[in-house]
Amino acid sequence: MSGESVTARPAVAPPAPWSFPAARRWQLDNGLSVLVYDLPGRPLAVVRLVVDSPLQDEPRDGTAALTTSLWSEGTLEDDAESFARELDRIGASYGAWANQGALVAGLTAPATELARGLDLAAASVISPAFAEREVARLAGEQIDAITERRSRAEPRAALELYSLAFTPDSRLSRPVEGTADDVAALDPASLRAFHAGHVVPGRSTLILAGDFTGVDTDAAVVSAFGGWSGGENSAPDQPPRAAAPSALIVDRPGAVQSVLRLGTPFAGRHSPDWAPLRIAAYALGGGINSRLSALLREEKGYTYGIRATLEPQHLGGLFTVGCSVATDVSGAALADIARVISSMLESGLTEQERDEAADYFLRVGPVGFQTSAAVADQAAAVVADHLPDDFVNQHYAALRAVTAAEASQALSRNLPFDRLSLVVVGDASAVEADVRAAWPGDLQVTPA
Amino acid sequence: MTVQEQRAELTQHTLGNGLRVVVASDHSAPAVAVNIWYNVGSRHEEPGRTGLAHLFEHLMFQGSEHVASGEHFRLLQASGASLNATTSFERTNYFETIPAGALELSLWLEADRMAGLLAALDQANLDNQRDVVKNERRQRYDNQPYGTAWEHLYALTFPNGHPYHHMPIGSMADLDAATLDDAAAFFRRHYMPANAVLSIVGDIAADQAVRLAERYFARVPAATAPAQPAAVPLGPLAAPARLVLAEQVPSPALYGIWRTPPDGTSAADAADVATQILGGGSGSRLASRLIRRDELARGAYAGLSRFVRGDSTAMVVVRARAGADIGAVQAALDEELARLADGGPTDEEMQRAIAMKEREWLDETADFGGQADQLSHFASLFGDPGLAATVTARLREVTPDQVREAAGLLRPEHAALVVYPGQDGEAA
Repeated sequence: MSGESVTARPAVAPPAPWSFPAARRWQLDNGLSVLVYDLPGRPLAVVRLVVDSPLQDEPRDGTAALTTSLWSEGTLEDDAESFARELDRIGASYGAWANQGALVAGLTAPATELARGLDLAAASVISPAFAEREVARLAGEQIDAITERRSRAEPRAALELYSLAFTPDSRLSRPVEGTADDVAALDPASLRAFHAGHVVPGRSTLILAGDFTGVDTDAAVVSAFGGWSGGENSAPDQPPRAAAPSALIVDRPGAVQSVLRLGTPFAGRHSPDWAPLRIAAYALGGGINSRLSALLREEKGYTYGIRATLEPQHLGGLFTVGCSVATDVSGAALADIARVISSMLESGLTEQERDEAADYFLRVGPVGFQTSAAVADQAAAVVADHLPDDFVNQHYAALRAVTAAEASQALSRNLPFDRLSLVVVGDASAVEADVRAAWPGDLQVTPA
Repeated sequence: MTVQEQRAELTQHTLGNGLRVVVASDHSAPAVAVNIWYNVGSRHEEPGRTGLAHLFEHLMFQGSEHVASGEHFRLLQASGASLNATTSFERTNYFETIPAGALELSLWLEADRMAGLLAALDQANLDNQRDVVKNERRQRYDNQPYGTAWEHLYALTFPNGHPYHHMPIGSMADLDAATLDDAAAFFRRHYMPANAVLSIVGDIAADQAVRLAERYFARVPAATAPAQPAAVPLGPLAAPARLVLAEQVPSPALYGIWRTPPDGTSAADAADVATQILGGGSGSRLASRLIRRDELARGAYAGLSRFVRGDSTAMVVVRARAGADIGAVQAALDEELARLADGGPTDEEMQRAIAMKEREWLDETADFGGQADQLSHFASLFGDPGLAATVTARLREVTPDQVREAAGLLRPEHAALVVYPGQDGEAA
């Protein structure tokens, strides 16, 4: 090495073997499963409680999201005010949310405060208050949040694309939070009933990640969650169904940019296509030098960033391509996106594209999973989607074996061009004609 | 509980060309963070050239003497890196975290653009990245509800011509006006080893890291770093400033800035604790009053942006409930500001605020990249990376009296406010 010129590019040493950390799994008598990731040198503890509860099992859209939002708004011991102060007192942040497969509560606190943090989190799921005033307040806040999400271009495009891509009876076609009307119809009784029927230890997994040196995690878990009881029940759990492709402009008069978002359902993390598809999506639109970004950002300057993204959801997912472009190049950018996708479907990945994508995924592990939060979130996703505990390492093995041809075939199977739906959120008066020219076929226009 | 202990011993070294190198060895993951701070930000921009520091940051990824356009990202990502750069008022940072075996590649890439950026700078790259940055501005500011609130506020808070009067993103007109000569001159004026700090944190022996820094950066030509003017804080606004924006927004909102003492002072630490007590946690005064008691808002946040070369800015954001009367929201906010200034914090509030700040610090330094950024921060702006180890200790030294004093600077009469009344709100 030392003899070479310092201006010559140095070689990269092959990475040391690395694997996703192993958890210690155990179970409480009440059926609560526990996964402990002891991560030396990580003084921040991150906790995820994952309650297996498919969103399609809600009595009304938005019930799960509003129920979980109330978990941090008071318990039978502490009202909302006091609960908030108790969290602050140990330097904790706490919140809960619903996704397509599970209800999730998340706590972050110094590992030294784990026991008290777990006490608070446990109280919030074992004995949430659902006080009338707080339910009404949180419902109002939720309605405001729904309005805001619909008024922002990017989240609106995402919502509309799910709505186009999946059949109306698929829960995935409708927003997790429900509509404003859904939320307005919810009351404390409906939340209590939903909570009692779904939030039970036998369907729950508690994930702990952090440096627990000197912390008796098991005792803390038993002390916090040992008194939790509730019956086992099962919920209907069906994969979402793809709708016929369609195209929509959401009109925002005067918008200086158009959000372009295209997508189609794909098989999700359970499919053998998951590993080859990740490689393919990365080559198509995963980094600045991907095919989409090389043309639309680095050559044309149409956008700050364009990405092809696999959005795995419960038992399925959406393959999307999205970017924001200046209003006056909306049609040109859309035509370029269509051209890049078509050409990639036609030609497939090159060996170099396959290698660069595989190298990235196989090497970024120790970089991406440095923190307690990254490990806990990955573990929570695995649990929520009913995947095996060592799923991440199995996935690495699968990635290693993927060939360029396999990635190309997975792309063809999962991203057929004629199955793509399109959403444009922008100024219809300025972009409609150009969008129609770039995207032949039926096109609806709706006011924002 | 004390969480501020530096996790690794620091090694410091200055190259012959003036580049300062800071290393912290940490073998808890087989990765290394490389972080370079250049002591240049939007505050150094000339009139008519706002946005140049950030536009220039983009050009740093378009190739250099021995690196082709696009190669910087391609080579690092294929090595498993996570990388980016950001430009703020006071500095520009470039950073990547890589598997340990890619450290030399990372240092070579950083050294090549520090030494030889001008060899690759051309009109095509400038024009392309100008378009990219203009789209960044549209996406993050102009096409977002409330997107230009901070831009309006900094213009209200600092007089025309003041280095903090404009935001790093710059104006469309100035971005259009930037020339190749501007970019080259900017590089020559600010991008020299003596104006930079290189921090390396992670799975590498300290002496080896220093050797590698010497190996790749020693060839970068030395040049005198520009003098950094001493801080000239203006102190609190003499009279409140208030701008009403009759834009269509989903719900009414208030954004506010208060000028507070420069970073590096105990008064800045006190202002930090004061904003934490006001709006830093779910149990804060503003959350309690505006969200839970009065039900006027669904978000209420306060925090501090620390600046070294002038006043820091204490910031408040209140996202009101749809249909709320923004006058009532402001009245409640004003009351809470005055109450903290008049009565000071309780001991319990002090304790909660410190616990939250300590957790925040653990968050910011949770990975090697976060730790390296803090080392660069303190080495670059204060000349001592070791100060990173004292952040929470200094906050714990803040007394309730100091917080009350700091809260005096946050009174309503010192506020710069941007007000969004919403569709049915008051007229401008």
